[in-house]
Amino acid sequence: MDAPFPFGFPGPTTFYLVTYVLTLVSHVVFMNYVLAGTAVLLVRQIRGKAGTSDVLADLLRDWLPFALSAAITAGIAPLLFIQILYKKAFYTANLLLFHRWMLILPALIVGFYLLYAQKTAFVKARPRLRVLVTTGALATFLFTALSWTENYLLARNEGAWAPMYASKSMIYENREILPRMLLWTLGALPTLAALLGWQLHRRERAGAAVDKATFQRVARIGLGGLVVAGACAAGYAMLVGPAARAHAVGPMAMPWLAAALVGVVVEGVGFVGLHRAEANRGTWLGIASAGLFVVILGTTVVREVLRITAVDFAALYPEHARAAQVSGRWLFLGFFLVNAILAVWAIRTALTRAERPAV
Amino acid sequence: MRRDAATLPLKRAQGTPYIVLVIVEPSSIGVPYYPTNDFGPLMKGLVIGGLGIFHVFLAQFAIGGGVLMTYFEWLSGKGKLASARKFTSGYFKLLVLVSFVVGALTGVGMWFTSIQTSPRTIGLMVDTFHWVWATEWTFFALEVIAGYCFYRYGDRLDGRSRLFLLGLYTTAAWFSLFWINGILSWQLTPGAWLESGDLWAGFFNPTFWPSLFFRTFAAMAIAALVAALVISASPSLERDEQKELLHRAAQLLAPMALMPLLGAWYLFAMPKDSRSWVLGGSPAMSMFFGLGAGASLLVGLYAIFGLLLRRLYINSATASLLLVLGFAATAGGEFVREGARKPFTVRETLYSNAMTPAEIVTMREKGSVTGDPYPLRDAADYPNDQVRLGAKVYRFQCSVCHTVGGVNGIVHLAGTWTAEQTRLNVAKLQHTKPFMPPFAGTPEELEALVRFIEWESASRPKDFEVTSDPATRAQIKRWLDEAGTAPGYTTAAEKKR
Ligand code: HEC
Ligand code: HEM
Repeated sequence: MDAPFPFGFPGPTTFYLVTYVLTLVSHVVFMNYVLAGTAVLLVRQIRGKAGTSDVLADLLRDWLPFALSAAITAGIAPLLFIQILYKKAFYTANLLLFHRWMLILPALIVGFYLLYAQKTAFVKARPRLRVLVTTGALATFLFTALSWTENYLLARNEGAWAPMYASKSMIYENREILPRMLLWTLGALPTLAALLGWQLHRRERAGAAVDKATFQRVARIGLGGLVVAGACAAGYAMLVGPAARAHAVGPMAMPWLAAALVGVVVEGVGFVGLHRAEANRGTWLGIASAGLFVVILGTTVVREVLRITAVDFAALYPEHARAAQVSGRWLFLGFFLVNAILAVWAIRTALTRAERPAV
Repeated sequence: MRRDAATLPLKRAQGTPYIVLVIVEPSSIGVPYYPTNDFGPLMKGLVIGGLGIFHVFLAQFAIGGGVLMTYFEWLSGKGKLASARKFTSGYFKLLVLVSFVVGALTGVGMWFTSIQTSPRTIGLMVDTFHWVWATEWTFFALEVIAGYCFYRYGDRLDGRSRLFLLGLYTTAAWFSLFWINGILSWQLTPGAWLESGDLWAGFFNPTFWPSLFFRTFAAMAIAALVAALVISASPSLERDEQKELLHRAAQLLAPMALMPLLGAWYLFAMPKDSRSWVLGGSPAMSMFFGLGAGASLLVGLYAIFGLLLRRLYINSATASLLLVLGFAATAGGEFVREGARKPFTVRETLYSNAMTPAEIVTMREKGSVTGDPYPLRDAADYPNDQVRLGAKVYRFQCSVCHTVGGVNGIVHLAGTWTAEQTRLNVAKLQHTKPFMPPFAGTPEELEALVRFIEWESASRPKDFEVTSDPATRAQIKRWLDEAGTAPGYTTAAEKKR
């Protein structure tokens, strides 16, 4: 395990690791929009003045329900592959956090309907209620994030399983949990900024007026997010202890950590450019997004390396090899392509054939 | 799964051909032990069953709803149903709000509840079918995308584009069912997969087609019933429009006439022992089967005679009632499907209590909980180590299907038996009731389990004698040997030969 990720593992293991990381990246993108978007919406609703229009808040209200749908749909894919990679550890953490997983379902349903409720005239007309509704939605998403974080940390720590079972505790006590969740939440801000930037850019190209200040606000969310998430990451690194730190800069993770750091710089450049730009915003958004992609990919890999090095990973190789023997991957690949084409076709149909609403 | 040495079918000593026991997951880490949650008086199966029924109902509504909307859109394009558009937007919003959201999330919830009931079963399903599942996921994603496009832009689209999006949505939704149906029906009838390990033999298994058709028609029926409710409760529609729409919606109920036939096909394709539980062998199973069959019969008769032949108007109260009946039919059907697999979760491969047939043989020698790393919760409440051992054996082997004093409570079932009687019945568990797996431990473990049952039946006294009679142990050993480790239903087949 001295080669950079994903090399140095048997073929099947590499295969599932790569698939897992890539699918998780897509979950992270949408999940970030939901998590940071709801938080930003809340802040804007609290600070917003009655009667003034707020482009960002409108955009978020409009798209958050879909983003949640997408986050859930994108979450199912890594959920499948994690069961092949870390079957026993994942299931055990699930069982130990039983109450949590039974609560997630109603919590997300409530969160979903609260997001939809934002669109109703009834809620729109009542500022206090609006804040309450958004707070409720944010709470359900934070709870979901907390549960995933807790599950991840518990699954990684086999020594904690039997004592936790015997203690009947519903909560896994680990001082990393809250800082880690904070890191995820703050780290979601730059992703949100990039996605919002693209949405505004598209609007502008479609002929709607978007003022410069709105783009600047988005750029500031991105830059601010980079700074606070960076600070939080530094703090988290102090917390995790020397062994994990060593693995994060070890041979497996180092290239990815370095790439992520470069990505942060590129992303920062993109957002600064966006802040200043009078035109060509697409270019700056492109730069920021490229940086963002590298950051998400790099940190997702580092996250995985820290799990690989924390468990007896080599003992799992035979299970990966056995799973790799079943057929069906060509079936999957074929339908993946066909359905991707159909999905693009559907989206194009909707976007190009629809009469524009009179805005 | 290709066969290697470790997964070779284990033929019984005499080579009896009618049962092939397969070893799965001869895991490098041995039997995987998981922490077992105690749901008190509620059985685990009830928890997952409840959610499962809810989810299946909503998922089928999503599919049938797509069929209905596509049909209406098509009629409207042909100029045959003028009021269709008035209805479809509202209906689709309902479809998205209810079935997209709750349906999708209960689907995710199914993963988590399945993990709670039997991690090893879901693990085996994922190992065997992850590419089928991944394929299903691409269809699910397409369903969400097409559905969302229609939801957001449908009102502003021309007829052809609307029809395209709805058709895409419906096809994708139906294919989700197609793939999942293969995996679920494989659990009951793995068919030729047992011998060849061939994925497609397992997927297109004996119950695949009847249950696919059955579910498709059920989906259409549910959607039609929801439509009936929406139509009759919709204030913006004129009475004539309502009647016209109702009549069209009721056409989706017509295939229900074939359901008895499909049900019979399904029963016929089932393993014989499972069929006999359904048809009287197990009172609970028969009851649910009757509930499902009866409820769908009522809906079907009303649909065919009332709505189609006599073109009756239906008010919202009747529509609600029919919908409740539809839900009852789904509940009955799902309960039968879940229950008919006993004593397996994957037929002849994995027992309901997460042991493989081969592991039972080993555990008879080495003990079933010797390697279980999870301590008892509240270990100090037990009077001695023997009862503690018994509690662990109960937890590992019996607690998936039984509770101590609640639903299917072991105390109610065996509390009045003599010690000897309990020993015999547990030692020959698969013959006591063929929907239970063979006992999988040593004579010491069995005696400890019997003492645990007696201690619980005696309301947990503080002091409880430890038994250690060598003659008793020898007797248990004899009974265990007589019972063998083959599933109970094979005995009946053997007697016939
Ligand atoms: C696959 C599920 C399953 C498992 C595992 C299981 N049982 Fe059962 N058991 C049942 C069902 C279902 C019944 C029938 C209850 C009824 O008839 O009402 C039953 C009935 C019984 C009875 C009463 C039998 C009779 O003839 O009245 C006893 C005693 C019993 N089980 C003991 C056990 C013990 C001990 C274990 C663990 C070693 C166990 N069972 C494991 C499902 C299971
Ligand atoms: C708004 C809802 C959600 C939020 C905010 C959210 C948030 C998160 C976070 C923060 C993590 C990283 C945990 C960590 O590394 O500490 C994560 C991981 C993950 N999430 Fe989500 N999630 C959401 C919904 C879902 C859903 C519905 C699914 C499943 C369908 C899902 C599947 C996953 C998976 C598989 C992982 C990886 C877990 C691991 O590697 O151990 N998520 N999620």
